[in-house]
Parts: sequence; structure tokens; C-alpha cells
Amino acid sequence: MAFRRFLVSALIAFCVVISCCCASAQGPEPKNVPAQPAAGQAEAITPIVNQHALDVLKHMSDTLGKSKSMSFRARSLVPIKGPNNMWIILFGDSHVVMQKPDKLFAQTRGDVFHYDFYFDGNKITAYAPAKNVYAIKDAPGTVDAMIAEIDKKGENAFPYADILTSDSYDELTGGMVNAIYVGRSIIDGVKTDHLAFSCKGVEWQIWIGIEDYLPRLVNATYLDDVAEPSYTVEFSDWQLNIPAAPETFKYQNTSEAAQVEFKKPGALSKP
Amino acid sequence: MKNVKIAIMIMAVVGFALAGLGDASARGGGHGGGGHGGGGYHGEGGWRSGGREGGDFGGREHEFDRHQDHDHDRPHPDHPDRPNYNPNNSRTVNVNAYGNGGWNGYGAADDAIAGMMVGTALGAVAASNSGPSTIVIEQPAQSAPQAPAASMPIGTQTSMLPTGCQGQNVNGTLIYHCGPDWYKPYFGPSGVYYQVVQAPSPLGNAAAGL
Repeated sequence: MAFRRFLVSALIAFCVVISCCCASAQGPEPKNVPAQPAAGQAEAITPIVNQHALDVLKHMSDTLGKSKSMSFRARSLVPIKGPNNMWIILFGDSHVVMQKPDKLFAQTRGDVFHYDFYFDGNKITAYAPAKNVYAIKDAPGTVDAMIAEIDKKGENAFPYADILTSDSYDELTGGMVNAIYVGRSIIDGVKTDHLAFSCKGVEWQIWIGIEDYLPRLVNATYLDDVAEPSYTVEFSDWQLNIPAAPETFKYQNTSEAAQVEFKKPGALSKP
Repeated sequence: MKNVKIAIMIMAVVGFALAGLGDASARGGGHGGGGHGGGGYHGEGGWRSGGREGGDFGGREHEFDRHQDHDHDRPHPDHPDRPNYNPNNSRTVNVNAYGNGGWNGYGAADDAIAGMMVGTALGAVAASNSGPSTIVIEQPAQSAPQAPAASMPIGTQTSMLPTGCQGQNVNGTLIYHCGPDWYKPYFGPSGVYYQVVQAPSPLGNAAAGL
């Protein structure tokens, strides 16, 4: 119990110190203005919509949307349910290259399944290096269309799928309830604007570079789960408008991998 | 704004601290699996969610066995009510979230590919058992299961082949012969998995489901 009190005290003290530092580093404070509740809406919770937060998010969306190509590294921390209902955090490390409108490559490593994903506007290919097998399927269209198809199927996309779309602002603000400008923060040496948003069942925060308007960190917490798991993705190694070689997006079977089929293990997919 | 940040930080940190102090069950409920990806974020607008249930891409490829050498069962000498940390135990804790998590980048494909919670073979072999995504068993770490003496039912799925399998190319299709069984590999939501199929026919592979 003494340890608990110490822990709480220490953390509060830490917060105060940090907040003082933040205060000195911050510029003018954009106001978080509570939005007027709609007629009939309960007044117990008044949504906060900070225009500056939306502006920064829109600027990020425009920056990404206007870029003809992009590459970045995405490092993720994702909780899964472990023994005795403990949350076990898995680490994923992805290198992503996209060339608009219809080319995408993603290589994922870390604790998660290692795979390489290729999309060249006509076909999707996935390669599992550990098993030396690959699967290929026709998928003509754009990256936007592919991601939309994923959403349509109610399936999950890459954790960074939102920023791959042409209009990430639209994607991110759909169903938004709150938009808060939290303040300035330095992420991996980069000054960022820290924004917080909420939509139904999800609270998410994003740190966006104040100079390049690129996302640096995202955290999302699911409120509709009693355990409120939290996911985190850190972005780095950003490069915009540097065209990638065409072969980047085409799978080359240089390891004599065997071709297999894409198929869901139906009996296992929905326990 | 400063006050907002202070308040948020204090709430977050204190909340975290309190969460760690409270009933463990408070964090224990909720969904299983999640897989890597659990998919990111996005509920109704925002970061894509859904991931925590039935996701497809991402997830862990191999069993979770980092604690295989740790003893969590013996009592702590100063705190008999607590387990001790003793690196002399062969107990393995496997987390099998196969098929129940991860983000899915292959959703565009009908049978979604994706990332992967390939748990232990034994856990995943229980394909027909719609059990929880988290399965705790004890077995040697990273070892493939022994090939069963009796045939596995056709359609049984596993994330790991038994030992001693021989890969064969049957009319352009990779298939593994493992003891009395034949396994066909697939690229599935939780990684590459294997399904028991009929033995390939010498007249062709149609009868074998190839």
C-alpha cells in the first residue's frame, strides 16, 4: 500500500514538472471551445471542438494527400489478451512505401507475423519469408479503393491505413465528438502539436510535426471495451515525393517460394 | 489549454497507477485476441477499429514463450503470498490468438490475408474447437508437435506442422505429408496455416481437394 501511495505521488509530481516545462514551451493557447449541444441533447457532456486542432489535422491531411509518394516507418504497440486476462503488448515494425494512386508496399516485422505486402494496382501479393510461401490475388484499383473495400468488408486495415487515404481528414473526423488541442510536445526530437479526439467508442490522440505536419505518434483507446485497450503507433523516417522504383511494388520470387491460396481459417476466425 | 494538458496528464497517469492497484479483473475483461493490429484504431470515424475482434492482419506469428525459463509458481521467500522469480523452470506460457486479431491489409481479397497470431500448434490444431483466443498450455517452447499416430480429421487446421513432414509438389500445389496425414498450406488471417486434406489421388488432385 505504501508503494501505491508513493507511486501515485511520484507520478503526480512528475506530471507537475512536465506540465511546467510544457507551459514554458508553448505559444499562444488555442482555445478549446465547447460546442453548443444540439437540441434535445443531454447537457451533461458538452462536446469540445477546437478549431486549431482541426486545422492542424487538416494540414496534416493535405500534406499527405498532396504528396505523390511517401514512405515511412511505423512501429506499433498493440495489446492482446494473454494468460489470465493479462494484456500482452506486441511490437510491430513496418516499413511502408506508397506511390499514388495505386501502389503500396509494406514490410512488417517484429513480434507479429512477418510478411511483405505488395500492391501494384492490379494484384495483391503477400509473402511470408519464414515459411517461404506467397499468395497472389487480382485486385485492380487504387489504394483508396483497396482500403475502402477493406472497410466495406468490416475488416481491419493496416494500423496506419487512415493516413494512406487521399483524404485522411475526412476519414479521421467522421463521427467526431471532441477535438482538443492539448499542447506542444517533442516526439523523438521533433516538435509536435498534440491533439486529442474522440468519436463513438474511441478516444484517440495524435502528435503532428509543427513544421512538416507529418504524424509522429498516434494512440487510440477503445472505450467500448471494459478493459479499454490502448494501441500506439509511432511514425518515423518520413520521406515524401521521392518516387520509388516500380519493382518495389511487384513481388519477385527470388527464394523459390511456393504459391499458396489466400483463405481465412473460418473455424478459427470467429471463436 | 495548459490546464487541459495538466489535467489530462494527471488523470492519465493517476488512472494508470490506480488501474495497476485495483482489481486485476478490471483489466481482464473485454475481448480476446486482438492480434497485432487489432487493428489499429478507428471506430465510427477516426482510427480504424474492429481490429480487436476478428481482425486479419498482424498478430503474433509464433508462440509467446518468453517466460519459458521463469518460475512464477514458487512463493517469494519474503512474501509467501507472491510468486517468486526463478529462472529455473521450464514452464512455457503460450499465447494463441490465432485467427482472432491483427490488422488486415488483405481485406481487399475475398479471403483476407493478414497478419497473424499464429499460436502454438496444439492450440491451433484445435481448429474445430471454437475456444477462446487465448490458450494457455504447457509444452516445450518452439517445438513442433509430434505427428499423431492416428489420422487427423479432414479439415483440421493448425498453425504448425508436426515434425517429420515432407513437402511435395502435387500438380503444382504444395502439400505436406506428415505421418498418416496430408496438409495443405494457406495464407490466412493469422499467418500461414495448414489444413488436413485427403491424400492426393494418383489420378489427380481433385479428390484431395487440391
